This record gives sequence, C-alpha cells and structure tokens, in this order.
Amino acid sequence: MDYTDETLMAYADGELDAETAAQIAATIVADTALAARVAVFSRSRIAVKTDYPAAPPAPDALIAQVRRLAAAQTAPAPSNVITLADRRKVPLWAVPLAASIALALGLSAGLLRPVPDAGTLVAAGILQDPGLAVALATVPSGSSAPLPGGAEITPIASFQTENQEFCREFEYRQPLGGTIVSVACQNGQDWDVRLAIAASGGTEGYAPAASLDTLDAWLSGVGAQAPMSAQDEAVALSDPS
Amino acid sequence: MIDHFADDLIALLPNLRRYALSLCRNGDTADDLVQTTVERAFVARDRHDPATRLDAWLFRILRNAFIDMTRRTKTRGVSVDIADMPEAATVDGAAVTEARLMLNAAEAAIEALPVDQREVMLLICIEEMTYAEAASVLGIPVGTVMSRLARARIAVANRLGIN
Repeated sequence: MDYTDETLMAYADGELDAETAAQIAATIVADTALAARVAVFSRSRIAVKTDYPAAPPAPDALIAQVRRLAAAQTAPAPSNVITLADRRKVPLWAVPLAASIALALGLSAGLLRPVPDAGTLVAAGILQDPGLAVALATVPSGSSAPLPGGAEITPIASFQTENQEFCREFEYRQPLGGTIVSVACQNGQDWDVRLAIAASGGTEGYAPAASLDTLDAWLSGVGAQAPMSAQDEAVALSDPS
Repeated sequence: MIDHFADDLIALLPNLRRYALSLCRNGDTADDLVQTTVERAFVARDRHDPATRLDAWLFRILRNAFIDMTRRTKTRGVSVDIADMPEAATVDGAAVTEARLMLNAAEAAIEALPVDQREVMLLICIEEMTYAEAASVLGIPVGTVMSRLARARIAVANRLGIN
C-alpha cells in the first residue's frame, strides 16, 4: 500500500491516528524506501528547528505597554477600553500656566477667568467659543486650526462611547496662553463639551500624567471605544446626521 | 482569581515579534504590528477560551492585523490575497536574503519558500503548533495546511541536502 507524502509527514509529526500510525510503523521495518521518505520529513523538521534563530527578547517598552494595558483593565470597566494616553502622539504646545493670567474666551460670557491649576476640572462653560462647533465638525485629528477670537484647536482623536455617541478629544489653546484638554460629543448640530481639563507642562512634550488621569477615568466611565482611523473619522464627520 | 493573561502574553512576545518579522520583513513595521496585536488582544481577551493555546489565538490576531495593515497601505482600494503581498511582488526575497551574510542555511531555505508555504513552516516547525492550530491561525482547512507543509518540507530538505 502506498502512502501519500502528507500521511507520512503526519506520521513523522505525531499527527496521525493511532491505528494508521501503527500500520506505518510496522511497514517501515521492512520497507527502506518508505523509511527514507519519512526521514525526509523528520530530518527537515529537526534541521529547521535547531538552526532557525531563537526569538529575540522583547524590548522593555513593549513589556511596559502590556503591563499598562493590563492595569487599565483591572479597574472595573468595559473590556473594550483602550487608554488613549497609550496612543497619544500629538505633543502639547502647552505654555506654563500662570494663575495671574486672565483669559478671554468666547463671547457669550464676556468674562475674564483666571487660569486654574493644571489638572483641575474646568467648568465646561468656559469653552463657549462660537467657532468650536464648526472646527469640531471639520478639522481632522492631528491637524491644527485657528479659531476666530485667537484660540487654536487641535483635535486628537475621535471615538464612539458605549452609548453610540460620537465624541472628539481635542486640545484648545487659549488666546493668551494655556491649554485645555477637552472632550466634546456631537448632539445634532451642536457639540456638548463634556469634559475640560486645564493642562500644563513644559513647552514641549506630552501632558503630564496628572492631567491625563482624569481624562482616562472619564473615558473609562463612558466606555470610550478605541480611537477611530482617519478614514472612519472622515466618514463620521461628513455624515450630516 | 489571579490573572495570568498579561504574564502569558509577555512570555509570548518574543515569538510574536519573530512571526511579525517573518511577515513584514521590516523591524519597525513588525514592532508596530506587535503593538497593534497586543492592544487588540486586550480588547478581545474575553473571547479567548483559557483551555485553548494562547499563542495560536495571538498569532491569529497578529496575522489578521497584518492583513489589515497591508490592506490599508494599498493605494488602490482592492483587498489583496496574502499570496500577492507587495513585498513578494517588488523584492526577490531569496536573492535579498541570501545576500545577508548572517543568514544560515535553514533560514535561507525557509526564506526561499513561497509565502504560503513559509507560513505553515514557521507556525508548525518553528512555533510548534499542531496542524489544527496552524489551520485556525491561517483560516484554512487542515488538509490545505498539510499539503502546503509537505511541499515546504520537501523543498527545504532538497535545499539543505537532506533529500
């Protein structure tokens, strides 16, 4: 009886059912040609396994990423949350906050508010900039756009919450300095500012952990999905509904 | 209950990186691919049955992420069969890799294989998965795995002077 290459290979790999394996084992004893065919499979496997380079150790940064993701999940939260901080790529052009600098923001209140300490929750009413809604509806994540009134907005990421709300995280640089990290969610034609945090830090680099912890906790609370790809975001922004 | 998921995943990072490198052939792209795989693994962790091997599950995620990655980088909006990957079309893999002085005979023999044969060799003979596990990673029938693997093994044996 002739055996196919696949069968002999499966025999060499221990993947054959016991009965057929026993048959082949018995046949090989007397059939050197069959034994040679099996040897091709077993020797090629051994040669490859011993000579192929070992897997190099994983870099510390990658291990740290796994630990961070695991820690983010041990807090009670839906299992589909990814910390946006892990994917933060856009640097803050934060300027040092000085409590004495008063800012003019938006026109509805007409008030000057002192800049709070970094990381504190800023009343959402502070972001009454009338140019904000148009910018949130049009500016892609990663791009900056000036707003009438002298502020500048940089959307960071777009995502859905677990309630199917379409939201955007963005940074809002105030005209006289100071940056606010905020999340606004689309509500018909309007955008509701749901969270606003004053950020501080050096002139370069990323927002310090303190101001992002609040953001991350809020994102967990609303069941924020992973940031949308550029294509998905473009589709969501162009959708008039 | 103690959670071993992160520890088990970390233990498999070297193997994931090696598999990613064999798919991407570029260190930076491979690292991005592993990062994406790790993120998706955490998102989907509840879908992993702890009774099954974690590495086969992770490798499947990685391979699907690779397909997503290559689909995204295509300028045309057409999805591509993995056998037609851009790297296979633009680079003579065997010629390039044989030019690398540090490549040993076994590596060279595997690199010279067509991509579908190379994948089954890596999963079964290097990562030591079963035929069934490799089939689930690749999303193909076990019979297809076996026929590709048999062809691959014979080609490698010929190259190494074993046959």
